[in-house]
Amino acid sequence: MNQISGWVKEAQSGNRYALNQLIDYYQNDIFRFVYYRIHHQADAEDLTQDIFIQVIKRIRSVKDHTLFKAWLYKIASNRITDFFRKKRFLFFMGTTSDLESEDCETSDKDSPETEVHRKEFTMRLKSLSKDLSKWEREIFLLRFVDDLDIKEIAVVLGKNENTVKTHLYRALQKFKQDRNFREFLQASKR
Amino acid sequence: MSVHETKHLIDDTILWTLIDPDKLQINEKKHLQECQLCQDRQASLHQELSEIKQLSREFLPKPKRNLRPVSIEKTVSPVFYRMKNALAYTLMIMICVGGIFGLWPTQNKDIDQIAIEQATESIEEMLQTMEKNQRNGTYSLLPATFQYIVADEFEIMSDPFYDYVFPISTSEVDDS
Repeated sequence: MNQISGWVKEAQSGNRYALNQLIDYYQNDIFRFVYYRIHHQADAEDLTQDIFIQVIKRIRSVKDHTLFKAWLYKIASNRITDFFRKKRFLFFMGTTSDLESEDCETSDKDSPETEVHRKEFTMRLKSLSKDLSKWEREIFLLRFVDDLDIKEIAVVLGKNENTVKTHLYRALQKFKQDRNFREFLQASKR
Repeated sequence: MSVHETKHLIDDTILWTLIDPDKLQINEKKHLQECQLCQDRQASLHQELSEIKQLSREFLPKPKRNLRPVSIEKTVSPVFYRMKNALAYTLMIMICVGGIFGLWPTQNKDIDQIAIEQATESIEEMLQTMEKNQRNGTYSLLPATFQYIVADEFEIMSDPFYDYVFPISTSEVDDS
């Protein structure tokens, strides 16, 4: 974390190398964060780039260097909200046909088994997400997909830590009731 | 008191151990430390949640392009663009204001003034033509091209119309 803080400090003073280090360090995390919310690779790539453009523009506004990660995820979260807002508007205006895009692309490198496994994982995760409320879903994903701790989640979502814990508790209760997903995870583990 | 004599942790408590271990009461913490069954339940749930994290990384498609945004080198200072825009807006406002209040040179001349100028010009032109005709011995206002349209042989005295206006008989002196 000290290294990250150092890069943030350097980037704020105009060090391009430090900025690139930060972007390289977090680009996979942010791409994953975006991908598991919009489920479309090309859009996720575009959004990830947009998020880093915002980071470059606004990095000087980071006051607490230790909270850079939370600040970064907050930008990403806002950008995703904008993306869905724009998509809903286009859907309403009739310029786009699908409100929820589905990524049909498959990787050539993956075996058919892996591909089936991947699709099932995505389907189970989406199915669970549908059972969760907006905040429960967001907090569950931030905690168990993006690996943020409670304090960071509270900063990203602008909520009290106790509120985050309560939402997470409810989300875990629903996860515990999702037998299909749990069986899938247990089978993957073996 | 043996571990087996106390009640096992309920599911909700197991959930809280994953969210906020500090929230557990002392006896619950103690039970968890000693009870293998409760530890297994907690570990199983923890393992499932860790599996989500692992699979989400494993099944994440690889980006097809570099996600680092292409940095645009700024060759011109943004201040230049701001100044340029400000100048353009000022010019536009000046043009509009000038147009509304008639401050442009073409709008200063009165229509009467233009008419007087045109009339003076045509009079001067006419006078020049007259002077030129006088010098050439012609007394017609017609330009030189049109001076000799009338035939040279034309004699006014032989014109019947002249005879009609001035009959010869009346013009002669009566001798009687």
